[in-house]
Amino acid sequence: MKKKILLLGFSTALTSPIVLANNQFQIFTYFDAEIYTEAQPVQAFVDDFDAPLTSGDSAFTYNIFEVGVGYNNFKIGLQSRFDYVLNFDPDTAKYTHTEKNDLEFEDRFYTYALDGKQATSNGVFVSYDFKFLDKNSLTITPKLSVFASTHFQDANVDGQIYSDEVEGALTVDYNYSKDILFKKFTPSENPEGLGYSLDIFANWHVNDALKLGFSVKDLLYKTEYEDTGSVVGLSTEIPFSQNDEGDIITQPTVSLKTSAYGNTQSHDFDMKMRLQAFADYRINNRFSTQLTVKRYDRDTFSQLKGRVHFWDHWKVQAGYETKSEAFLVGIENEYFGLNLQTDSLDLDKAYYANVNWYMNIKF
Amino acid sequence: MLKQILPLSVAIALTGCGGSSSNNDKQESSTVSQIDTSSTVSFYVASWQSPKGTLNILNNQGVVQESIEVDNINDIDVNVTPLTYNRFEFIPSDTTLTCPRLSGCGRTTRDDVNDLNGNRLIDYQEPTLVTLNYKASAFIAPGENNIYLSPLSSAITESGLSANEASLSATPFYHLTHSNLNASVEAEMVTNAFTYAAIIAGVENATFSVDTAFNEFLATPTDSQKWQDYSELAARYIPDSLYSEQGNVLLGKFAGQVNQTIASVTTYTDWQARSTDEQSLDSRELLVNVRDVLGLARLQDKTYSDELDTKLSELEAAFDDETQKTLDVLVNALNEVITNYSPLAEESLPAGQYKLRNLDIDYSKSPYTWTITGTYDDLPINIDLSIPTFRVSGVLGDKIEGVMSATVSNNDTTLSVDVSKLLIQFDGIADVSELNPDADTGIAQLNTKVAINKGASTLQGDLKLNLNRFVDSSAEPLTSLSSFDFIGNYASAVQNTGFHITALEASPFSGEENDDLAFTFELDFPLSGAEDFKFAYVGDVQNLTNLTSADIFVNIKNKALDLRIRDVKGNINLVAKGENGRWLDVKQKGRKYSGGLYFGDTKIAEVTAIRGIPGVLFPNGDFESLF
Repeated sequence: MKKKILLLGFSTALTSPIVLANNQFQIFTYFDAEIYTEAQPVQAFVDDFDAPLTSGDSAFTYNIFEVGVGYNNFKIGLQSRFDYVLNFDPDTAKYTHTEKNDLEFEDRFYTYALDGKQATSNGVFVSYDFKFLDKNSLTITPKLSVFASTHFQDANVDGQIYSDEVEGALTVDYNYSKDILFKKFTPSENPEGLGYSLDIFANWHVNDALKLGFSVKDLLYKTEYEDTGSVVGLSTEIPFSQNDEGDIITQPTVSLKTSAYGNTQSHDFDMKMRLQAFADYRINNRFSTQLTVKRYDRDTFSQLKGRVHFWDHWKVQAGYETKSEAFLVGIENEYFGLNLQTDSLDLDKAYYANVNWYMNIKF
Repeated sequence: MLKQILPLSVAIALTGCGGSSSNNDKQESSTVSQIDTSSTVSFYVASWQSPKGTLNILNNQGVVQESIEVDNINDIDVNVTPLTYNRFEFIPSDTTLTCPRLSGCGRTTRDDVNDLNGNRLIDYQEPTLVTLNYKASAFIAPGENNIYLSPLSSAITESGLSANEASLSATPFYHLTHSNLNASVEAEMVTNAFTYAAIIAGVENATFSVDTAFNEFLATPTDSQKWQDYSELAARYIPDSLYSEQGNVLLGKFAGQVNQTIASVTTYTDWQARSTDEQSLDSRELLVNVRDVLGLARLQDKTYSDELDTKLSELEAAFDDETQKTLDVLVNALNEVITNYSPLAEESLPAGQYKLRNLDIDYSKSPYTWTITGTYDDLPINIDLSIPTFRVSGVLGDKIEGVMSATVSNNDTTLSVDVSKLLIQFDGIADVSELNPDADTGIAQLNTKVAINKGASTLQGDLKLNLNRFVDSSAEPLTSLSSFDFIGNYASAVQNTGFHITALEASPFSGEENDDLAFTFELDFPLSGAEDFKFAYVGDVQNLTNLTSADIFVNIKNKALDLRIRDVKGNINLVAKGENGRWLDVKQKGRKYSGGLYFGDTKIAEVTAIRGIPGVLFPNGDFESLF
């Protein structure tokens, strides 16, 4: 399923996309593509898993494109998303690496645990900036998106597998639009899903120098798919044994409930929320700095960047992020912004990449 | 390892070893989602019975559902509701049966109306007073069903017993379903044999009935003379037919199978009541049965590593050429001595000391005793024989009943007979007759108990041999083995295995030696994991531990399975036939699997592989791996 990871791009994931504007009416677009892999560089992760194995247990990519209009505190627009999140046991990465590279398996049980979610959706969103406190210094923005989706993967495999033999106890709970795990049970029609998500953004201008921000993306997220492909079941480590009388008793090594022959299911799909907080401090007219901490599921990234402000509202920025070990550069003003972030300019070796840009036209 | 017997190499190959099996990721086609079944039944009655009459179809409670007048029972097809238990009954309009045996059916009283030529014998094709019943009950599988009606199918049906295991087949010997219709010649021959025997036994003893004989056998399996006579006559049908040109030319090809079925049905003692449990079309019981067999194989492999391997190798060694030669020598020596130094001899010889090549024979009369010592065919032998009754009859055949002690040694193989009853019968046909120009030779039958010691192991059991005496192309009289039946027990340090071996000369006219012996083996192995494991196959003993393509029967947990395995250049085809007409067909070509799970002619699930693991995909989307 990692083949489904799109190699998209780069940037600082942070920044609230919606730039505060005084103008009553605006048109804007926003694009953010972020990818991060552990165990293997992105390229190898997506392809052959043939780079030297490093430790790790997760991979994700979040990609969003929006275009919309704003009027006063309202914003409304169109949205496309492609999200993919994969958690795995480091032993599973080792197993996969051994298998893909024809290396020698150890004579032991490998933990095999995979939890993957992927969804492509297109929809609309609406948000409203609620203003609070003196001078409206606190803005809280709920953003509701409603979308349709016909492509998704929701897979959970858990258990253990012995060496390279077909032996191991595994449970599988897999729902999808296309069967990429068993390559056998893709439904003849794509499933149809209708979903919603809720994000909350909060910005507080504590004073002229300090801004604090907090966001929860996908605080609520749910898609109901109809007619999805599915494979649910288990494999048994030792499918035979003897009862008290000494007679053999057996069970299938693998028994599955699948969506074959039109036995499609409905499926509720959800995504984990993503948290982010930042503190932005204006040192003086020319310089400012920002500390951002983001937490996606089990991974926490801390980012520090510095800015140089020039002309009227222009700023260039550079920074560094822990965990992804990525550097970022960017340029922004009120109407336009572009940020790029990666841990290696050689894409074959990069574990992280992000591209982020926005445009606002205000009237 | 059981790999070899079941060709479990096949099973392991079928298990696959993971990985992607197919690039085709589109939905399985819905070939099995619609299930609608119907059934037809056709019938067979042996040709000695007039085929015109009434066919009654009864339900499981014995209530007549339909009664059909038929001109020829062998030509009709009736529609029957699938998945039901039914009983079929044929009542012939003309109950007369004629003598089916070329050598005649024995003596009759003076002026018997049936003795058309007045020779006081019931000759071949003369009418008899015997009448027979034709009934059979069967679970009707979807699609075609063939029912083979005989007096024995009647007796078994009346007693409410299941004949599957006795038949060494997933269905009773008198019922074929869609998947095994190609076994029809075998089923016809078995039916003929059981009908043939019933007619001859009925002529010999007017009070004889197969029902009574079968019930006596059930009550006292070891002591039912009627059943024994009936069984022997049924077994004789094959050589009687093979040794005559009037016999079925197809019989030779199936002689082994027919012989094994008759041998098994007539000696099986663990008869169980016939189940009438409701059967659902999409039941997965066959998968469970197949999995049990393969699970047993893997259990053997994993936990009891060499148990079966050791047992099979031992058995293979036990039935080797040395063993067979000791039997040959015993039988040929006896045959030669008795035909030359007894009242059977063409020239009457006085009691006294005789020398036959390297044998010293001390022959005395009243009572008749022989002490035979020396070597025969280079093997040292020692026989003490005493025959108090000696019947010499040109009509009934010569009959010898006596007591024998004997030893024959061949290296470390010692055959011994310890004061056991000996019965030798000749059929009395000594002259060429117009009716049976080929049967000019006579047949001798020998029954005795033998023990064969090989090192620390012993084969012990009842040996029954039929010898054919005939004149070869250079006018020399020869004796050849026409059939052989050895049932008993093999005991050694590691096993105690019941066996039933039969052999039959399948092409008596193709050569003068026993060069086409069709062997059959039935072995009762109590195995760890399956105390009731039974295994049977038709073929050479030397192939026992190396069956890569074979038809075998296995029984485990009281479930009978016919397995047909073919391995052609690594492309494997496994057909497993289970009870009631269920069958599983698995074809493996490389990493691709195809086939289906069937009930009669109806496919109820598709065989496919998921990530290289073969299994069965049901219309409701359930997938179960084969292993």
